[in-house]
Amino acid sequence: MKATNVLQDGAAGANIPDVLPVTENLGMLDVVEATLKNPRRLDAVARDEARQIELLPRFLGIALFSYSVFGLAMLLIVNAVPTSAYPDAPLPMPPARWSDGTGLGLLLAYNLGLIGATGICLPTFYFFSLLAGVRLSMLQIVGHVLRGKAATALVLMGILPIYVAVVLGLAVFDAPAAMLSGWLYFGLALPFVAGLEGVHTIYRGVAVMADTLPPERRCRRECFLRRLTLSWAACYTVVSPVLIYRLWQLLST
Amino acid sequence: MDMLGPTLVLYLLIGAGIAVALYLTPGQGRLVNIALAVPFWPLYLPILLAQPRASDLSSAASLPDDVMTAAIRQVDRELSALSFLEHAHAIRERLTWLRGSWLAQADRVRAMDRLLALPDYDGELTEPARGDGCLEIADVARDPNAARRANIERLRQVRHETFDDLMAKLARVRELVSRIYVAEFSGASPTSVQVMFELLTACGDTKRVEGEADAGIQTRLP
Repeated sequence: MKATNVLQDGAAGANIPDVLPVTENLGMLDVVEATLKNPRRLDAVARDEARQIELLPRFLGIALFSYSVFGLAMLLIVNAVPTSAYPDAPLPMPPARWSDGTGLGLLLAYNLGLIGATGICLPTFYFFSLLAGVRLSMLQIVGHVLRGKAATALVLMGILPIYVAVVLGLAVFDAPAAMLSGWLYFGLALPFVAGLEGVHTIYRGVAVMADTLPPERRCRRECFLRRLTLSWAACYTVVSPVLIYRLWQLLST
Repeated sequence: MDMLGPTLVLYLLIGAGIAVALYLTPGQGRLVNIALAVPFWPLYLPILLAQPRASDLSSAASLPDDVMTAAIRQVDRELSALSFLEHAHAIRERLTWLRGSWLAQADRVRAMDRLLALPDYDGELTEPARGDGCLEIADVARDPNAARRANIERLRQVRHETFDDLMAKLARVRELVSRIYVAEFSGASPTSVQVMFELLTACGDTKRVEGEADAGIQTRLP
């Protein structure tokens, strides 16, 4: 069975099962399509550890590709705007130039930092889930979190062209340095803005898993789970900028 | 003071270890996975640790490539596709047990095949036994090897029966899966879908399933 045949939008036909097909070669684009068009298909395989093993590298690939494109776009912007517009508070922006190779630092810092912070926060999320009473294995936690990363990455890909167009427009028309600086701050934080979709995806995925709870306790626990997901997102939002900045500094010197 | 350098070296060393382990794991040794496992090993470690538990047929590369494996894989795919249904979660462990029982039965057939393929057991040395393979005392007296040949013939029959039984079970499961789909999408009551799931889980007990399925399910469908 071809993956593309089954990964149609669920709305197109009510009789199409909301399930990701088991195929020998489930491509990256199939996963992208399922993430965008009908995430319920991915919810359905969240319990299947064998499918998770198959999907995890694809989620990771989507995230890495997207963050690489984001890094390149930011590198282009940072080199296009005047140095007076570079953010310098609360910490000065590390160098990121094409000419001396420090630009690679920005590219790698975002890729390694955003994904690496996930690894750091994974045990937290695992214990949060145990605390909420949801039966999740570590593999399922990684699956949910990487799926959140992939969703974030896809939203980032959607926002990025608009952001690049706006900032390059401002740079071409010699906008004031303060305004450009503000836009640079926003740009560097763009993965976290897109990350809201990732948090939503993680919450939805984990909430689906909450049906392992007894019905009388499910409602109360889901509420608790929502708070725990938000706490985890807050933890990640604190860890990842520190990691990105430190890596950027290290790789740019 | 600067611990970042040594920490990174340790981190990458662990990553290299995980990458080697992935390389040695059947089905996970793809170059991209190995390369990504070095910097992102915390994400790959659960995959590695989950390998023995997720002994799903799709990842079981060590299974012999024969008609039984193909049939079990086919049924396994169809069962996995049921996972979006509400009752599928409740019977998950039972379905895993069923897969295990099919694999064990297929192994028995293969073991008998190996035995029957030995030079002393092959078809040329064993003449077909009469009727149901039972021998009269007179036959044994006439030919001392007759009992042995009869036993081999009986073994061959057992092999065929075991094989046929396995294929019948798998066919039955496929039929039940298709019935579950029909019930789910034709608006049958949740109770009938649940009953069919129960029958599916009872597939190890073939006689019970056949009787109950034919008698009970048709009346419940709209």
